[in-house]
Amino acid sequence: MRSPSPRLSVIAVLLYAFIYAPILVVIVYSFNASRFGAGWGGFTTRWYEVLLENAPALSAAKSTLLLGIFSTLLSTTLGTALAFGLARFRFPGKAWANRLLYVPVFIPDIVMAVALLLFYSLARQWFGLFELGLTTMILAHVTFQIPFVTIVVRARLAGLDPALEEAARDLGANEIQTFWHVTFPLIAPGVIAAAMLAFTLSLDDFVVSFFTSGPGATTLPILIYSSVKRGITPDINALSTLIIIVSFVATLATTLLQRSQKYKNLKSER
Amino acid sequence: MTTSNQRPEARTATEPPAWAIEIEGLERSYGEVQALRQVSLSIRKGEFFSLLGPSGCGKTTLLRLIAGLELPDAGRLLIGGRDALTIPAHQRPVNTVFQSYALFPHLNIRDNVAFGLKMKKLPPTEIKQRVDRIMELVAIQDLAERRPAQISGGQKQRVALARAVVNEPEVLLLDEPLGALDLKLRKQLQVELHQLQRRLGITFVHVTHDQDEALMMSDRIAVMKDGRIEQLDVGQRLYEQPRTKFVAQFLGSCNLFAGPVIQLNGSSAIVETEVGRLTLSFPASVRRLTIGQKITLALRPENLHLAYEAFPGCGNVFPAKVEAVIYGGAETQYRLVAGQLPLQATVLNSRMANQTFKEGDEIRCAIAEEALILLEDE
Repeated sequence: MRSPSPRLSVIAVLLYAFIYAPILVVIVYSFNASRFGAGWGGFTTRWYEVLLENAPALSAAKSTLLLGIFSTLLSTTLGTALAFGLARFRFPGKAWANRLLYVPVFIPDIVMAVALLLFYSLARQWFGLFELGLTTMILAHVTFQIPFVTIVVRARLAGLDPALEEAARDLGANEIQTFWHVTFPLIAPGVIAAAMLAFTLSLDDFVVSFFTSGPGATTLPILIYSSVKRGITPDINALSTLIIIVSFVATLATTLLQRSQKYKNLKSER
Repeated sequence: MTTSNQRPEARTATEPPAWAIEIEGLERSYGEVQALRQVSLSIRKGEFFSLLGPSGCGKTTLLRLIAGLELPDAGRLLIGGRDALTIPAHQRPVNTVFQSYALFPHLNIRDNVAFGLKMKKLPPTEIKQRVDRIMELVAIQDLAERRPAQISGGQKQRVALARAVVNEPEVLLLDEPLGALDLKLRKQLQVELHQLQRRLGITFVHVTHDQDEALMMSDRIAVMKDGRIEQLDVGQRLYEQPRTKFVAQFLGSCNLFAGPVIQLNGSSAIVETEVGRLTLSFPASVRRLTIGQKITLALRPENLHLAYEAFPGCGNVFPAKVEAVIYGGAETQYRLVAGQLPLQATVLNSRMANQTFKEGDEIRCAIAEEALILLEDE
């Protein structure tokens, strides 16, 4: 690989600055002692302390975590099962099952959100089910997480030597034993990466949550949105900074996991 | 038959069936491609049996059908006298050594070998005992804690073998087990595999495209082509009496002569070939020949004798010119041309050898009547 020319390097640096500058501003201002305006009033960690005493923020954080954890558990399980089915079986309509999988990825969030809201209100009207709240939000998140999980896990399954599962069967393992003793351990890094991705998606989601949340089920993004309507306050900056850190750690972990797996594969091919 | 007269009650129904595998009319297609057409064969208990053929001949498909990894479109398959087609792969009394070895990368060598016994939920002490014994047998006990990624190709091959035979299958299936190894290691493992089979007494069904490997290791060989069994016999007979041109050329090299029969005389015939008249002697049982019938004859290169002078008292003699001399250590190969027909001869370089020939030499060739092989029409 060559090194880039100086001009190209400058452009690259500017590009990254463009992406990360707004985020950096939020982080920097979360340490700004001045309460209002753009002026710098000195360094402080006061806003983080304020946040800890802010009951609505804490409750929103709890909802966000619950929403993220439960939707991730559900979508990872269902998405992995779907990936297994798509990768291992031949059945009529398989091509369409594969194509339809990508649709939720491309559909704008707002359309998805409106559709879910409509669906829930109809279901409520006809069956008295799906009262808006944390449960409806979890189900809503699962719907947009599943395609991402399935796509990641299916890629991992496709890279698996089919002879390994055949060897397991040949050695006396039934289908369930084959899955738990051979297939799952080998795709586990992909499943974990998919779960991290799903969790990050849930954590960051505003549109779908906003439309499907009920009373008493406010998440951090919704809380931030409603606070910002009254002007950006430093404690919101602090809260945003914390969300950024959690997202960043989850993304980093995903990348590291995938890289360690690639490294292992390289080693075993040698 | 005198022995059977003395013991008329021998071989009664109480004896277990002598066949490890019986196959009848097995068929398998993949879309348009017919991988197996009406394959029938029986494999004896304790036999080292090879399926030999070029890639795409259906040998691997046949092996996978026996293993239960695929199902046939038609036909019957018995393993140990029992109908196997209703038994799923994980319950068949067979184990496979895969071409790619297919060792489980997330398990160490010991857990790989123990996999089958663990799936059968045997008591841990018995598993340990059997795994230890088999790992010692194939000399991989020092690798127990390593991962498959950390061992060599030859070692992987042994692990794959141990992982299969530890289950004490009735039949061990081997899919080109030595294909990925270099020549020297392959030769060594051929001998080991053969000895292991004799020691364990398990029926081995071995798929290969390597004729030398098949000849060296097998009790019997089925030569396959286009989804059919072309010929099934012991190696020596396949080599000495190939029935078709394909078998003659696939097992070793050969010279071919063709032409009409011009004279018949009991169990010998005179054929007008490219190199002149050749006399052929064949067992009367083989085939009826008629005057004027066009036939093809095969001759192994080592049976083409070369000399500068005439061979006294030998009928099949014709002139040829040496085109190339290829020295190969133990033997020398000669490329010849007789009239228009290219020929090859192999001469052993023993101290007793009388003569060597040079490029461009005009020489004479001689063929013993019994050495000519009458091939079937294709």
